[in-house]
Amino acid sequence: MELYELGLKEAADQIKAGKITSVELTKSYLDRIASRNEEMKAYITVCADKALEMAAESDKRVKNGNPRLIEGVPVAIKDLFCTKGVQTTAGSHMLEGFVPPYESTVTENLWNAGAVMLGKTNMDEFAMGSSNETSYFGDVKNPWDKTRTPGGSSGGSATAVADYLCAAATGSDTGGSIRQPAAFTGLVGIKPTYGRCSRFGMVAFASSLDQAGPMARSVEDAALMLRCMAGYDEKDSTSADRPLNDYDEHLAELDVKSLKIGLPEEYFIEGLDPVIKAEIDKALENFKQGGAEIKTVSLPHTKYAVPAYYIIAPAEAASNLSRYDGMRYGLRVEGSNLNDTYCKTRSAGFGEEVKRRIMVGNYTLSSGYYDAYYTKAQKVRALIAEDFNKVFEEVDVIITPTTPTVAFELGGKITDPIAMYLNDVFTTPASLAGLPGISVPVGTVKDGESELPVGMQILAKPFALQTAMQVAYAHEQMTDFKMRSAE
Amino acid sequence: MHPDYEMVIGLEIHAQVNSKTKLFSGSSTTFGAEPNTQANIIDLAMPGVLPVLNTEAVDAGIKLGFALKARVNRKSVFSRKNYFYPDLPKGYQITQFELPIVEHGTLTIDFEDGSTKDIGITRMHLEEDAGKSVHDFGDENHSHVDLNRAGTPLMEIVSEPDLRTSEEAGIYVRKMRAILRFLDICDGNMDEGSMRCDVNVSVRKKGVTELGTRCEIKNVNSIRSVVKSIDYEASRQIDVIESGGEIAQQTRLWDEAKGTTRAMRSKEDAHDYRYFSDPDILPLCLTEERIEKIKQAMPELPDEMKARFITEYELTNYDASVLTLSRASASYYERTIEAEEGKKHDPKLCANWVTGELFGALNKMGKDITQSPVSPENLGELVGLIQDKTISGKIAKQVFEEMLETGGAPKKIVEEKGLVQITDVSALDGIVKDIIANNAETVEQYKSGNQRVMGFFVGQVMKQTQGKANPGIVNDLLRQNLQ
Amino acid sequence: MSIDIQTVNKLANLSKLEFDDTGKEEVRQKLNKIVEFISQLQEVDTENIEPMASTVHATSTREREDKVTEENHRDEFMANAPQTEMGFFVVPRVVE
Repeated sequence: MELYELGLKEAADQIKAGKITSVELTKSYLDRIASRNEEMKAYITVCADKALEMAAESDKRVKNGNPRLIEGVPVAIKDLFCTKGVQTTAGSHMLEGFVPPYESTVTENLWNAGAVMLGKTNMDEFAMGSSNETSYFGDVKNPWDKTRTPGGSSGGSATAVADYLCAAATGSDTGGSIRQPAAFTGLVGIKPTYGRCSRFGMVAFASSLDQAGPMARSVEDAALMLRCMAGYDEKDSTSADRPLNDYDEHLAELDVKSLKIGLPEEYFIEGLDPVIKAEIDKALENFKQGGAEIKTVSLPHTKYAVPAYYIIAPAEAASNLSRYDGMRYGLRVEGSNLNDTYCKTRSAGFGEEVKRRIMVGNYTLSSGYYDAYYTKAQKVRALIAEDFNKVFEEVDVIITPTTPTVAFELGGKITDPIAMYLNDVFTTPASLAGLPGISVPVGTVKDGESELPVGMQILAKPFALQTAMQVAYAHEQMTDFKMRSAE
Repeated sequence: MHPDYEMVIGLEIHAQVNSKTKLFSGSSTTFGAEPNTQANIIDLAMPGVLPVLNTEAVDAGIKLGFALKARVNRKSVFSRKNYFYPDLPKGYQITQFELPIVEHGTLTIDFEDGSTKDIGITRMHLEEDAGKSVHDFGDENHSHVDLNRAGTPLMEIVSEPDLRTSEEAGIYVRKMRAILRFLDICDGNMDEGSMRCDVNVSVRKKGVTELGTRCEIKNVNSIRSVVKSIDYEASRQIDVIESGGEIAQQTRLWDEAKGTTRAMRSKEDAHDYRYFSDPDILPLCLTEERIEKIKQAMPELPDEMKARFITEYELTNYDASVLTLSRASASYYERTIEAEEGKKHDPKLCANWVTGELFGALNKMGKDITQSPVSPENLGELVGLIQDKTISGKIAKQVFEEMLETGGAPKKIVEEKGLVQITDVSALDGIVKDIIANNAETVEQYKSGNQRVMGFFVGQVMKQTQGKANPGIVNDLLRQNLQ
Repeated sequence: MSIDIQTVNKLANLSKLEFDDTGKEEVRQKLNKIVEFISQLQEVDTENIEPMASTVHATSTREREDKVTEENHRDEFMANAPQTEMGFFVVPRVVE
């Protein structure tokens, strides 16, 4: 077994036990990245020197007998998190070369837990996309089939983890950007309850929806990674001031016999690939065998989640992206006057999808349309949240497919925004309601020549992520899904 | 001003909260720092940074709400006002739009004749200031941006269009400044920009009830300019209307040097600010405990103090309002009354001296009351000397001049210069008799009924006594001796 | 509700973006599709529903003590700037 195949927990244990050093492990990843990243395009920036420096520091701590939670384990950071002294682009030409003079809270927490930074991963520009194809820095390839997308927007992180280019990675999820790529690459991806991870220093897409989370090759690794990322932060007014669980230490505490699972009928509909449904059914059967109660529930406003999401997210984004004006940092394209400079800079700096969403956002916010679109979408959002509240009075978790299809071909949907948006149909409702959700792999299906993973989404009440993790862990013990081994 | 027209004026005052830090970041707000040394990553709108509200600014807003007898909203919301400008780093300003912290207040203004008028306050909301663009150096194609001021907390106080003359507007601004200073929530320094005015002016024919089209004048940075810019703008509008034209609703800029307003060239397109509640900040909800605590700790305000001065010291409405325009002048005044232990100086006499001689002198010197060379204790002592007839009012003015120059104590000056009033009747009687003997002709005039020559005799006595003679005794003695 | 070229122009101005004629037409068509898609919401009955701006259930927004926490890091903060001079950001001339 190669060192890069170790999971986060395993690697941390071995480093702490002195069986391997962080420098050895880090080198193993750096070598693999060096040979594969040009093709896979998982990383935008690889910081080899910094990684080795951090690894040496970790080894020193282990030697001195004071290792931290994930001491010396190399991780990848979605290029949405500002990292002090390391280029942070958000996948955009606009921020190419931007070197933040500050650290995001999530990454700061990771470094304080002993993690080593390998580099910054590729992503859809400003996290706007579901296939990673809106990145300025090239299309990321799915290691299961290199003609396919790893999903988006955290596609670089997904591929980095799935292709063994890091032990675990951070992602961010606004409408499904962790869960969907996790499903497409056979990973565990967690979107915590809104407010669980600080948004400070995470480049904003849609502030009321953005939430950081982990991507890893096992439930335990994802739980441990989240524990090292999350926590209250007084620099984020929307951060939750409540104690943080030792998620990874309570995974096996579920009593499946008393578990109530809800299956929302609106998710098992036309458009859902039957092979996906079959894989989900297999997983559910395991729970049924274990004694769990499974009941059909209704979330009647589900179909309105995507349109509501595509009003709220672009509106917030249009405003959030106004700061990219070429005045204080980032790209500037000099025009004939101030207004011309604004227009030239932003037209050159942003890609098509980002421009489109800014235009849509400014449309729905503009006078005369505000109530018809923005206010209406916020009301629908309330209805969607209320749907969940009602169902959670009856069940502990809700289980759905993560995506309606498996990973699609690169270039397959990029020209049709609506088709691309509909890929988020199962992930946006929980985003709008602020709920925690996990995508876990349930199996693989054959699509043409390829064997492709299928993801199952487990949703829980706000701040009941521990329950969802336990369900995911229980599933992991029962499933026959096997992560692909390193190529 | 054309006699057929009247002005309708509303003011938007931007008052900078005198907090140590910005509305949403921990950067210092100290005035006059080197450019961009007080702009942190939040003020610069770096990617991913987030705002956290300054509690001091919220408290300031609540205090002002009480002072304006307004409704303090238990829930208010911060919104984003979206537009591009180099001094606005985020591309939006965080402000309060639909739900401001304060609504529906009143400010009472005082006129010289003792009358008052209530001016409605529509709303007061908290918002962040923009940075500054400097165009004075470098080449003509570029501006220089300093973001030190970006994010500084402002209270925007919007009046109803209740003001009818430029003079009223000036009094309103002065009174608002007094309240802000009494509350110690804004230093009110218009020349440093910590209090700024936008003026909305329209004109209409007298008797017409509909409002005319208004123009907003920006960049009005002194009370004098408030008055001047309104007068200019109103007559400009009247000229346009009288010559058959129509007023275009626009934003105009006050040019202090030229004394004129001109239409702004930028932001000419119809604004669509796309306000929406800021998802980075939750609604601000005030607890009853917090509001009650602030209410209990409210200081005495100008109107309350004015009322007290009128009843306690029997001052006129106007004197009382002038003295309570600043906490410093009110406290100066009260200290003159209490200047000497065990002795209360005549409050009316004190008020006359403070508002008359002292304010006049300070005005001439271009100083404010806190820089007065005459301490309230010394001025009180001077009033005491007049009150117990140690010196006459006339001598007192002489002593006051000396006090202004040296800052000396009046008793000492009177003693050193031998200015104590002569009240010795026998000594004065001798002088009076001499003067009558030496001015037989004038005595004849008096006796033939010309009472006015009395003044001549008094003057002569004063001349001989270097003004120290007690005028009452001199008058009595002259009358007796001229019989 | 269909989006015409004038609306595209207005939105481009609000967004500070520019498109050539072909680009403009393409944007117009795509915006039309998106607007049609999001207009589905009109069929939802939302009477007496309060708009939901945030999923956070805090009693009030967080407030910060009025304490200076920042030092001057101007040079560091300006290192990413396209153009600076004497401690100022240099920008195309601002016309008032």
